[in-house]
Amino acid sequence: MKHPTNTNSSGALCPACQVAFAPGDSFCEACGGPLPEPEELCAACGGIVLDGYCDHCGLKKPAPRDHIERSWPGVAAATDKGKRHYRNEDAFAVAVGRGSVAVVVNDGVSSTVRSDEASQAAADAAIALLEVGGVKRLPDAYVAARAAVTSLPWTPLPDMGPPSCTYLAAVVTDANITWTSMGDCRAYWVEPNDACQLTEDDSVAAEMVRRGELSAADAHDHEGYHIVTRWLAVDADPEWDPVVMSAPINGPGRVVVCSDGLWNYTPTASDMRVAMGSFGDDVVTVTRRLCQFALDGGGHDNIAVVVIDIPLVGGTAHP
Amino acid sequence: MSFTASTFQNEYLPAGSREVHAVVTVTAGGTLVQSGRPGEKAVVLIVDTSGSMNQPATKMSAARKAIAAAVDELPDGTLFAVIAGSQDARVVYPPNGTDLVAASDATRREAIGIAGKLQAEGGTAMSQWLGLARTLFERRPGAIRLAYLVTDGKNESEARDDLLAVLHQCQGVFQCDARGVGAKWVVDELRLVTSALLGDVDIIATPDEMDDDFRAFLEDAIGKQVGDVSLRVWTPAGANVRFVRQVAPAISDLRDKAVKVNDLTYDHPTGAWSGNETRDYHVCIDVVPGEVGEEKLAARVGLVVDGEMVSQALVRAVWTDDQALSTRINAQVAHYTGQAELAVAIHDGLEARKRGDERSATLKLGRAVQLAHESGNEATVRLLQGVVEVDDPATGTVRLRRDVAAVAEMALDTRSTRTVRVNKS
Repeated sequence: MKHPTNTNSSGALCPACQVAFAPGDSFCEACGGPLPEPEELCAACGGIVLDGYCDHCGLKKPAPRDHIERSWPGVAAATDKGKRHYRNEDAFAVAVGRGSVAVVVNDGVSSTVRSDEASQAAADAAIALLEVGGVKRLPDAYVAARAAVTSLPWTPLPDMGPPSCTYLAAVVTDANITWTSMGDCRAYWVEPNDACQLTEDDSVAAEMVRRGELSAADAHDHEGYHIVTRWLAVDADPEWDPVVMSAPINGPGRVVVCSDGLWNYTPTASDMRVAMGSFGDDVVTVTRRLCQFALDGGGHDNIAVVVIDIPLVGGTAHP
Repeated sequence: MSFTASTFQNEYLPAGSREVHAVVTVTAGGTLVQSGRPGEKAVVLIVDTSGSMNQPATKMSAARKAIAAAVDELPDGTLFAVIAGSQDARVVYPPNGTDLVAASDATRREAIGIAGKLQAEGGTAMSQWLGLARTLFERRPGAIRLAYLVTDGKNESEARDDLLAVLHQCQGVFQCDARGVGAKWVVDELRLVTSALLGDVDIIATPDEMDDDFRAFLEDAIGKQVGDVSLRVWTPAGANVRFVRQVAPAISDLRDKAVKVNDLTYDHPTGAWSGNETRDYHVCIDVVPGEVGEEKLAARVGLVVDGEMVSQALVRAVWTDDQALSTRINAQVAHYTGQAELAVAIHDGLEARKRGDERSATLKLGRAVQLAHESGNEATVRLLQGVVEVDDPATGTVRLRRDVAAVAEMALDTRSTRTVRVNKS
């Protein structure tokens, strides 16, 4: 992604003393007077960005959420708008503690209003509890996330539902991973020569597989593979109550938590392992690689992915 | 006084699509606080005193009465003059004939007295009338300048080009409403005047309705608070503006009066605004299509008062492959698309009727009935009923009337561009 550059290549002069100034200077070298704010330039055509839009070609300035990368020792996270959606409705949140890492990934449902805000609100609300209380707070974190989503004000639009998102919260230690999920975000355990999917999707196809009506092999091509059956929203069934699930893990290995914007292109755990590349690469490199893998595959949906090294590097980085 | 502008649109476009529609609603509110002389107003009444105003003589006496009624409404301090028009024009008030005067008990009384002695004689050359009004208005460049022209006949004492040339000179100096009394005047002629001078045209079917109409004009004029207002439209490089039109309270194309500000920006004069009114604008712009997932600004639509931008709304374009989004129809855009089609159907239907093409006239006017009915434009339905018998408004099934009164047809013609706003219920 190109970023607008704050250059002043036109040889602009200090308004006070008329001496030319270097790009990026805030004060004039000659007279010490304040220099005009550098103009933000359009990444596409070099025009001046006025009110969030280029004053020449009209292109919208990239939103901060279009692409985000974060990293901690042994943990990396990224989200990207992808190539087909006009905004990023995926969100992640990470809290690195002593001996554990909490991760929340949410995917806004695009046929609902303000779903980008729903996913962010859910992630923020859940991580606030997990950061302090860890695995014990997984049920509370879910309740808080749901409350954050359902309390968003919204105006009905034709064919659009209330603010909605999927939800996956996980707390990872060196010995196990514990999670609650509502929707089709996924967690994987990946070792250098082996990989497995930990979570089960709440989708029409996955439910049919669980009932024995569809084979796992045929699920990928089923029309209900991407139709989620559970989500967070004011119109969600109150009976939908997530179960806290847990699985033992035994490193060295990596936990991958992601939205369907990534796993669309890595449908099996083995595909995911291959896409991650060499285990010798650090988590930041691997996370970027996965993001790029989804973009290269077409980027049809928003992407969110978190990769965690096991054993955990340690929790000194986070307050 | 403050302006607020808001956009109604479906910003989502399918891949490769370039046509962007939006309705921008502009609402003026509050009282004007402005430097200089706040809201000084100049009003000129232009009254046809050609010989035909004596046929019947009640027309001239009604005009004298109407001038008196209007002058009586003038608030103290409002600058005014009265022009009598025939094949030439003269300022009948004030007596010196060279400048406007401020309304006061004395000037109002004097003006009413002189207007009471007006006689009808001679031909009709509207360029003379408007040219004289322009001379008067040009002495008051800071004022909100409003004229009101009343005639009963054709502009027969001069060539159409004479009128066009003077209208061109008057543009930007003052705005002008026009009224035709009876059925012997030509709708297209007065529409030429009002569309050039940002006013509206209407019919006064019988002379005894003149004083009410004069008074209504005055009340409207008194309410005007800012005169120099333009709709500023910016579009991105490579875009093509299909149209910029006012769609409420009436349809009028603004694009033909656009004034270039820079390569991407044009101003469209809107005429004066009162402190409490709402107007809707429909813009249609072709933009260079973006990639799916991209968003572009298709237009910035703002109000410029005395050269300063006071309010702005953004028109966006977002390309998506989600059909649920791109096929959504914006209610405002759909409504005003229908109102514009209604005006065209009436115009075409009346033209066909004049040509004697009954089949086409029946189809067009039937479609007009259907559109007016669907959109709740009851006033237009009633006007259409003066020209056609309506069998079923829902399907637009109509029969042409055999006995159409000339005034009924002219009323439909002059008011065909009046719209209703979207019913919010």
